[in-house]
Amino acid sequence: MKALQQNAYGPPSEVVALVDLPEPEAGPGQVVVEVEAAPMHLADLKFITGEPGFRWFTFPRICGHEGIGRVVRSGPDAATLAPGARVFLPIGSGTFRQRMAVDAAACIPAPEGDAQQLALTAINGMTAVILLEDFAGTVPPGGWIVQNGANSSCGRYVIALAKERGVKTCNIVRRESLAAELTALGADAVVVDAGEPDATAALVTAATGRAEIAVGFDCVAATGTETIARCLAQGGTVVNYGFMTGKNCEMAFRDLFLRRIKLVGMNLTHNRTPEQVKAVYAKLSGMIASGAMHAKIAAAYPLARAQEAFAHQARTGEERQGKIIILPND
Amino acid sequence: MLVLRQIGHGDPTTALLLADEPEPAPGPGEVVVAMEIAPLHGSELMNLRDPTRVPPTALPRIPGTEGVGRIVAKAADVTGFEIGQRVFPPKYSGLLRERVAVKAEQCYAAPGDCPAENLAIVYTMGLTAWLLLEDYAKLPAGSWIVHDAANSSIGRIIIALARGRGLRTVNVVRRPGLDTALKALGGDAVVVDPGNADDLARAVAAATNGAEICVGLDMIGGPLAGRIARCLAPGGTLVLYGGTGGAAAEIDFMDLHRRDLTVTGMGLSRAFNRRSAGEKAAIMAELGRLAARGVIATPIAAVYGLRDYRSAFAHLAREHAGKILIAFDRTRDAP
Repeated sequence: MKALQQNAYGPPSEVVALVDLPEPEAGPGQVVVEVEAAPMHLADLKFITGEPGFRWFTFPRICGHEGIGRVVRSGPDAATLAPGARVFLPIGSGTFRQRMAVDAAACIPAPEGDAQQLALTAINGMTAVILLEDFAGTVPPGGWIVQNGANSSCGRYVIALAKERGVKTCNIVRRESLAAELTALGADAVVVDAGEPDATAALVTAATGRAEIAVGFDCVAATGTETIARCLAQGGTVVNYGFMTGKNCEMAFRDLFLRRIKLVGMNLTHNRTPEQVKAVYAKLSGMIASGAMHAKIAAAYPLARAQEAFAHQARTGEERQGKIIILPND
Repeated sequence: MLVLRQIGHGDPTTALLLADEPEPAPGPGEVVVAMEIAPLHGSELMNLRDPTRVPPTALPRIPGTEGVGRIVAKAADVTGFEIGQRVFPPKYSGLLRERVAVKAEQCYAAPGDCPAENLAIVYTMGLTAWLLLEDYAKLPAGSWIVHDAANSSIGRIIIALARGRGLRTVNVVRRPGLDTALKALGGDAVVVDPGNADDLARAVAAATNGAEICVGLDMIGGPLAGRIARCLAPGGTLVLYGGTGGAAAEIDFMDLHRRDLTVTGMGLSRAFNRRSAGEKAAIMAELGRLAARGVIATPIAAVYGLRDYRSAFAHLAREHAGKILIAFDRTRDAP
């Protein structure tokens, strides 16, 4: 049974190896799941290189944070998940491997449909739901939100989920060429980052017809955070959920004090009970399976080509063009 | 009577002009306050140097953010204030003048039986510290808070007020040697900022036996704001109140993400003005009492007469330990 094993922090080519491990056994309450598709995220690379804030592990560890698969064996007391059942694997369970034993209770049922698309439910999909439900829940239909990194998987989900609720999105991107694509997804306005918070905020003001925007989502950090803050009305909230720049979030004093803008963080459960998480997955995966939410996939790689996948993941924008997926049994 | 005016931008010797002018008379609803003492804040220097803070169209203006004085005249329709009574005149009303006519309803009663110096910074720094703790740190007795610039005037008042509220403070400072002084004020732990977030969080955890710290107060901004954030427990709030460093607050994504932090700013005017007139008067009365008793106090670097304003502003521009005050009692003036 093949797996991508990390043995230290460092460049992927030096610290991640394709290894052969014994076939997993299903213990009491466990099932063995054959992994169909597992997305690679920016964070997966940071966990490998061991950037500050990303040194959580003891080694060896198996890479991969999320994925979808099928039960192939059920252990004692795990009869609720019969072989053939499709499940979402628990977050952080090391999904870049062919088969894995997991607690049946930690798996969430998954629908049939495109495995590569569905594999993005737990992290990017859930993030978009939390952003909209927990932080923009009071934005009325017809109201606006603003986000940067709008062409990311999560950004695209935000567009689709906001549209479903009748909330308008103003989407900040780095490339003009994305405007048509995002508009087709349901974006109400697309603004190309002007490279400077005041200038970008002026474009957002114009694009939204001077709408009062109470909430903005930031996955860029550095002056990306400041830009979103500058776009908001007095007393607004910036929700940060990523840091593509690899830098700290910057909040200027004029926004914090004169305009009373708040900066908050979010995480992947955000006080939901396991039952509530299950319900969100069911709704999300339904939308993904039906195509109402659709991620752009850049490429899918088998385990044997993982180093190519890491190199591809390290590129951005036009050089990457979407999500990288690992297909452990391809 | 003497009035100090900002007439331009640049060096205090050319940007400021001291003039002798007619005495003010109280208009309807007004009292005339004879100033006793007024602090010079660092912002006064920035106002002289930076035309984006004070545009040329705002000139001439009279500097002086806050202070304390006694009522020497009042309009017939003013009630609730008596001649001779000490008051805090309204902030930013141009207080570097010997006598000023102000709306009585914007004045707060001040204790009359203590040195005026005790009351000099009640209305900005005392009030800022009080509102920070009241609005953001209403925590069970024994809870810890962490704050930086702990040896600044506001920092020291935060220590004393927090102690009075049963809170424990971790006091982050830039240099060693302040342990005894800040503990004497009521501080519980003093930590020298090691300059990086993980080391600061470790030092704070060691000083508090790993206590959960839900509230952090930051006066400086920049990377230091992010270092204070690293010390906070999940769900914690970082409140910025000064921005003295001038740089944007830098907060690490992982701190926001893994610990659900909130970063917010408290502006003094808004925090105070959203309260009722009665609440405001009660807060100022309590702060006045605390200042009169010396519970909240600030070290004083020097006291200058208004005629000696050039020396006072020159001192303000130098490194100084404590506040620089202007006293309006002419017996202080050099002959």
